[in-house]
Amino acid sequence: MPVQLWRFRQYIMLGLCVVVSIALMVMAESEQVESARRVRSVVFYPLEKTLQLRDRYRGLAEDNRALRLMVTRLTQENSRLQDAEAENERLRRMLGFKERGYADMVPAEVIGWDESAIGLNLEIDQGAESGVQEGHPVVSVDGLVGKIVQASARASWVMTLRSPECAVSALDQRSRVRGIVRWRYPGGLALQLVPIGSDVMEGDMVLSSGLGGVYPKGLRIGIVKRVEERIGDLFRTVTLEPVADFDRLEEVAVLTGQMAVDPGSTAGAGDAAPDGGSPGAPGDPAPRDSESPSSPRGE
Amino acid sequence: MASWNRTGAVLLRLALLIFLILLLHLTLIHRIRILGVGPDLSILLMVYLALWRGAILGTTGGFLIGILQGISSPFHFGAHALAKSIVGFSTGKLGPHVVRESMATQAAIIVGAQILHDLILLPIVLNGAGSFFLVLVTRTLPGALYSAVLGCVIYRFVLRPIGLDLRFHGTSLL
Repeated sequence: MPVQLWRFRQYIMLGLCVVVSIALMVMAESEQVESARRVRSVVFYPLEKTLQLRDRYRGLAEDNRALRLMVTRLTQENSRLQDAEAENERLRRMLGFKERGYADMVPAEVIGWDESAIGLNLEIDQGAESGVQEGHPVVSVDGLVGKIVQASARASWVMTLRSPECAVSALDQRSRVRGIVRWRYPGGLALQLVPIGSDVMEGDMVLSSGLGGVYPKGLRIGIVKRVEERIGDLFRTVTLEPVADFDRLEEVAVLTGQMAVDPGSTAGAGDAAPDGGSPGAPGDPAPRDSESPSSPRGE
Repeated sequence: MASWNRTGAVLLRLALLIFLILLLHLTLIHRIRILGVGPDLSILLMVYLALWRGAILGTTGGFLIGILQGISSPFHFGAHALAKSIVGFSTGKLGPHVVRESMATQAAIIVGAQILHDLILLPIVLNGAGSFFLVLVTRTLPGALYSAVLGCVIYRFVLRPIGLDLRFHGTSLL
């Protein structure tokens, strides 16, 4: 009998591996897997960090020059925005609006890329020791990148907008039409659930809407690249050009503070459509982030 | 005793190789992408292990690489292990029937392995986010061709010098 079994050892091994793999997929991720991920993070962290540092120091002089230029430009812009903020504050008080909260930021560097045929997740060099927790939004200088889905002591994984699991409640900055931003293949980033006839045009900026409580309101997501309507469809197909260049991301920031998003402000006069109508199109499903902060993986 | 030492040395080299490949997979691959398409180093390693030592090491090697890949990724734990076990097994079974040391054969097997791998993995990870066949044609196939070219180069200049030589079919480790 054992001799006969030995003859089929290759198939037995395959069967075992397949059964264990399926069991691991079906079962909820255990504490052991989380521990293994933490160990991997500790082992890989110094190597990933070293490789990252080597690359970073190469272009330091060029970066320095570019940053000085940017500081000059931003100083000017900051001065102008401070004026605008003061004016905005006065108007908000006059209208009885709550003050919007702003999160604390933890700057981080990208040290790892997990890229499949259709998705992209990033590993960053800041973790729980810096106050980073699962569910915290991650941004770059250009706009929204994604959110933390796994935080170990000194490193974390970011689920980016280029991951099929990621969904963000968003709105058109100009017309306030709402939708859900998701990555689709083919097509790339798309604003979904936008009803036929909604006022969305090429070149519009799409921002996070703040609904759902995961992402704060007003983070830039992408620019409308193409708007299509197909006969028989209930929704328009809105394709976006992401503002963040995911292939070249090196520095990001994690928004770690509690966001005091004022739900009323989204539907309030301050954000009302220019035509005076209610935000969103008729029949607007008022979409929200598909994942709540309490379930950062959306599982 | 000597054979155990030899087996131990081979296993140590394999462990180091898997570690190195995973590190490169996380840190380097995105830098060598062409038009958004990059190679899959974990598939390459698994294919060469399977061609070198047969179906058992192909299956277990694929399973272990898949588990490590699952640990190195925030999603779909177990899916990579499933796909790579099956591909490792298939490649290992195919190995004795082909001229393994031929670069053309290796390239063809890498392309086939990548396609089979994504045929198993994509329905799990796609999660309704796109067209299965379109991803297969526009992402998997170009990635597989890239992997095939890179695989032949790595075999010639890295794997063969460290002892993973397909001209000699070693006995199974297990």
